[in-house]
Amino acid sequence: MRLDVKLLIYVYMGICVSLLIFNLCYIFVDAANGRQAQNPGRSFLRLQRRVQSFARTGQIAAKEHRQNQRALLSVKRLERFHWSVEKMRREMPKEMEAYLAACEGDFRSLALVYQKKDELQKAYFARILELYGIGQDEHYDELKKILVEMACSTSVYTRENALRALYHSGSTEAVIRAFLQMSRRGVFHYGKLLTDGLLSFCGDQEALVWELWKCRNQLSSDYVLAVMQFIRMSQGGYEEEFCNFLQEENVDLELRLEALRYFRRYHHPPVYPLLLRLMNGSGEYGWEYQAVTALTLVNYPCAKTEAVLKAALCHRNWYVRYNAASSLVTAFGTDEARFVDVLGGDDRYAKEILGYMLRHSRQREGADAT
Amino acid sequence: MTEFMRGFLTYVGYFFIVYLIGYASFLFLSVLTGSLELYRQKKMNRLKNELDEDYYIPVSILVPAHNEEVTVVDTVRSLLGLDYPLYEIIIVDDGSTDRTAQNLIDAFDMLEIARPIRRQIFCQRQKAVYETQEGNVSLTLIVKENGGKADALNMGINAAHYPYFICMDADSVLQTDSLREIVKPVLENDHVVACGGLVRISNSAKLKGGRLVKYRMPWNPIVGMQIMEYDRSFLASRLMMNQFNGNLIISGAFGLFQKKAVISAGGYDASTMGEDMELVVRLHVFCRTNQIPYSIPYTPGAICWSQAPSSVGDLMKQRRRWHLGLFQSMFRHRQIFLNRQFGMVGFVSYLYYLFYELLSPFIELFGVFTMAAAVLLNLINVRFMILFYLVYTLFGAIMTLTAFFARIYTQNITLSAADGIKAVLMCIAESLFFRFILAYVRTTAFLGYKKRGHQWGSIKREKINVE
Repeated sequence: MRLDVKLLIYVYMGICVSLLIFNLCYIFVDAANGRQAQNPGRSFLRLQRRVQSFARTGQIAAKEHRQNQRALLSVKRLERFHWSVEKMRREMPKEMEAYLAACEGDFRSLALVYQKKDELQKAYFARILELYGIGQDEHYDELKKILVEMACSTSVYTRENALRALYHSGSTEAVIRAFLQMSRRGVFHYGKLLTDGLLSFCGDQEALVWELWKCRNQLSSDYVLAVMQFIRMSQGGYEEEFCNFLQEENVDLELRLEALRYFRRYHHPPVYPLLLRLMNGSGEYGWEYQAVTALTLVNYPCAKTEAVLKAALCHRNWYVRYNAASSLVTAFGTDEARFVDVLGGDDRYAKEILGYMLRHSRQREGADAT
Repeated sequence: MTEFMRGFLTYVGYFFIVYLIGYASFLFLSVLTGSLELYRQKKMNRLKNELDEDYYIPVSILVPAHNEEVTVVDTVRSLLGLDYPLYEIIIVDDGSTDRTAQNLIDAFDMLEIARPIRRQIFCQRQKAVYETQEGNVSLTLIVKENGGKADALNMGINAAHYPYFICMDADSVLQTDSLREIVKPVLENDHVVACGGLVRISNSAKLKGGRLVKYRMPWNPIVGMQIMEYDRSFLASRLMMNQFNGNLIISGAFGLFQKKAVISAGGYDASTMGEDMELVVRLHVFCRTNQIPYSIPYTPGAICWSQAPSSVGDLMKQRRRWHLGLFQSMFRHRQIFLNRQFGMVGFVSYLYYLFYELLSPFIELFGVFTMAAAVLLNLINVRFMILFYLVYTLFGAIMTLTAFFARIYTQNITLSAADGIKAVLMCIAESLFFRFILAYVRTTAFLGYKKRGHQWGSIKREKINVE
């Protein structure tokens, strides 16, 4: 028994020492790599020579292209190259941009290799493409096809970096294909990232919005929601479409609510009767509709709206009451005389929530004034 | 009789060999996976695998406070400087008897307002609500009757406007990028119902504008040993449990929760002393029972600086509370134990906490008694026993050191040579002495625990070194 225990102790001591050695080696090697990447030295001097030569002659030798394609296959070298590019961009920005544009073909070839690498490297390569403005044209080509494929990957970083490269390219077709593919394959990508990404699109945003809206039936509701939010946050102009959309059957609740939110930002009188119907229909529509409509009505101030919102203060749902009170105060001001019927009424909840909103709004006005 | 004892002690010996191999293997695996995960994350940052857009998920920060007049204003000031586009701060004063509320009202010119609060989860009534606006951030102070930390957090959840909330301690400081970091898992996976951040000890750190500017190993051995312990157990083991969605604890000092999920699960349980662990275990049970896909990850990039007890007395108070909380959470959710429905949570996480945390003091005590018996019967080789103990201590110390230096390296912290030596000494001291203090506290934790009920743990507060 004792011998066995001794053996066990030796095994664990061995594990211990090997873990320590492994960690020390890892830290030293990784630190050395990091230092090398950030101090590219020779790599920088070589790039500097090449950029200067390109600035003089306007040409890159075929051998140089071959060297680029070979060298940048390794992510470590690509990292070093990137640090050199960043440094050169500070020293000779115009020349560097021109050189990168002339090297576009090299990166297109590299894309074929990087698409087969692990997620970490794929994500890095996609980011490099975006940073260097590679593939900035409308055409849907091999490079964009690879980026669309990367946009469907399992890593959120690869997806986001590939999408960013596509937004940066300004190609409507590529972005639409990416959305369709992701939706078809059931890839989850957080809605806010999609909306923010679309807002950064470098091409014709109006055309992109229209094309995405046209193919909404092929997109899953998460993606349609992101498109609708993009429309609401960008230029609007979809009042008719959204009004009709609200009346379509078999539309997801979240999408209908988003359409209602749109009309809070963009005034559209024809939708008003529908809003009133949603507010008045007791039990017919879920409380979610009434909560969002109560907020939307802030953009339709009139006596009828005031009456509907005051009635909503007595709703059984807390959110409907809260939103109605908020809209009343925003649309009709903080003069208590206007709300005396509610404040002097019998409904305790209505009085409490409206009283709170009035005081809160006045406090904010006071704070803004000072 | 001697034969019987000899046979008995032999089996005890087998048991301890299995027990120690289990612990050593867990420690080894957690330190290995923990360090590998930290290295992977460092590489990811280097290779631009990051979401650096101005993304956001609106977040409510809940700060429960009870007699925190010394630190609460600084805590709120530091929260106002967070680098995040949309968040609100809700401080819940849980019946303080000092100037906690008044200091806040004076410091931020807060005004009383009759705010109706929708009580979706039970909590004690509010006595007064104060509000103000600081830039983009809405600041709310709710003064309520005393009901304990869990009750205060439930009040905060009821008052929160946003779909996710952060719970934190009133004596803690969030690093400026902590909100950006802690919401990342939600952006990666829409099934995240809760996410833990890394709690680091602030006693020897200097922060400026929410960023770490100076980090020293402390001279106080009580604090130093806790730093080592945090790195080993909190960083490494949680990163390992991340691999199979098996985290059973999110520290009450810093965690992000989905409001909807927490309300559905019933909020914080005010009758336990470890409300943070109990909630996480309940979320596991709730989601598994209702077949809701869920994830409870741990993200070491989101950092919160918290004060550690600096005296043995305070440390014992804190650990006694933790151990009782652990017992209550595990006992309440004992259906997890070796239950196939809970997968690795039932077979690894629960088992680990049961044998190596909850029962460990009793097992260790049993070990000491059997060892004494073996010495009396002359059945033990004392030299071998001492050697074994030293090797085991060394093993623990090396594992702790590995976790410590992996964190120091990956978080780009520079340590002086003196601090490095201090760290090594603290590691050894932690392995040699700290475990005995903990064993004592844990063994005696149950004495008179009914009397203590759900009181706030009070340890001596100091101002955090923040500029």
